[in-house]
Amino acid sequence: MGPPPVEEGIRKVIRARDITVRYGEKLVLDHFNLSVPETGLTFLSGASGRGKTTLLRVLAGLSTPESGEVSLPGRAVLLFQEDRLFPWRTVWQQIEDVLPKAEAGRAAEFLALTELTEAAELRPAQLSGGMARRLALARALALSGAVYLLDEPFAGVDLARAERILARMRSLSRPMLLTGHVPELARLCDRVVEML
Amino acid sequence: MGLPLLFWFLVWELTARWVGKELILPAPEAVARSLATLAGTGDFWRAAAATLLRILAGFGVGAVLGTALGAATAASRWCDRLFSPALRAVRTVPVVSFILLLYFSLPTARVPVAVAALMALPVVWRSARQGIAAADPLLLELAGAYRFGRAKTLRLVYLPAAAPALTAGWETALGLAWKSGVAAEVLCQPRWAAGTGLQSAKAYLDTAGVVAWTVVIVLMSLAVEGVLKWALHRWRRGYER
Repeated sequence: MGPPPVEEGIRKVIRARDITVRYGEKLVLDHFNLSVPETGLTFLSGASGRGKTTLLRVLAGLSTPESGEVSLPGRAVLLFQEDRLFPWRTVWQQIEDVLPKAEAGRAAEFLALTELTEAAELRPAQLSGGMARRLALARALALSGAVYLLDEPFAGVDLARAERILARMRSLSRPMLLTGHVPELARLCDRVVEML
Repeated sequence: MGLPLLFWFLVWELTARWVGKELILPAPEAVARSLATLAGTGDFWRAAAATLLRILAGFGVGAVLGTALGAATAASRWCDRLFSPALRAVRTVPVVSFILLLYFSLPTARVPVAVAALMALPVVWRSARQGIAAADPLLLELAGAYRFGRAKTLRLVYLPAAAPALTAGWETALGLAWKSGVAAEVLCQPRWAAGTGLQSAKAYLDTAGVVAWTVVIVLMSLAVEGVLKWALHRWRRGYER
């Protein structure tokens, strides 16, 4: 897992230096290095088990690496690999729950971004897998953060819809690091980091 | 509901006729007469109301304290080390020991309140603690990562997880509060109390009166239980998926 290509003239925002993570005998990340630019979308690609989720958790401060260091410009918001929705809260309420009280009305924005406006009054049990994933994504984007770490944001979402949502996410102008398996989505991002 | 009630009513009537001694088993008619006589006196209503208020007060204190201690002992190791052994001990002490100990230190009218609270407290504590421990660890991690404050984490993660156990705990605790509170009244005999009415009836060998007071206590207990069940289940409906 070597360092990604360095791009001249772009200030680096998220830095991970020499990250090593081991789960028991299994070495998940081996002196991994990463620099994610201030602008645009970075796609972290790789087969299952390559350490993408582990890397995001280390960057978000939820897992402590055996060695190495992380540097972030501010708060990192993590979209977990699982949806982790509150089963009794409606779609609208799930977004409202993470917004400041004064901005509760903005829930509509994030539902529109992820094409969930029609589903505002539904509960998670009434959502398809793709809808639940979009809801989790909308909730993460509604949080205010300096960088967004999105673990498989489009799992279960059809490609055409994912492409539209990704285009809207780009217009938010926030640095985002996404993981996934779909090459078409990787092509829509500004850069791709391959985890081998 | 009507048919089982009728069945047991008949069993009672036939058994009382077979026993043939009102001192041992009064017939339903005798109990009804005794109830009617009691209900015609102002003292009866005052005693019933006083018992109801005592049990509610004792249960209320025990339930609130038990819930708070359940949360505290689940959240804090030092709280757990300090309070849990004592609460386990309280759960095992016979109710009559508490009644006799408190009899010397509290006014007689307060003893049933304290005893009801002491009986409710460890039951609610245990259910609250178990309920809180059942909180989904994935949601807890999310609450931490998304910087939910304590109040929001309590509202969105802990309370919904604890609701089933808390509901069961509160309902069980209410039943214990009734039994122990009335037992305390029988032994301490406050001036206005259903328990005192029970004891007086017994002293005058008025078995019909004993049964009449018992019926009154059971009816009050069922009414309060019904209201609590309704309130708790309404609360839990808010967490339906």
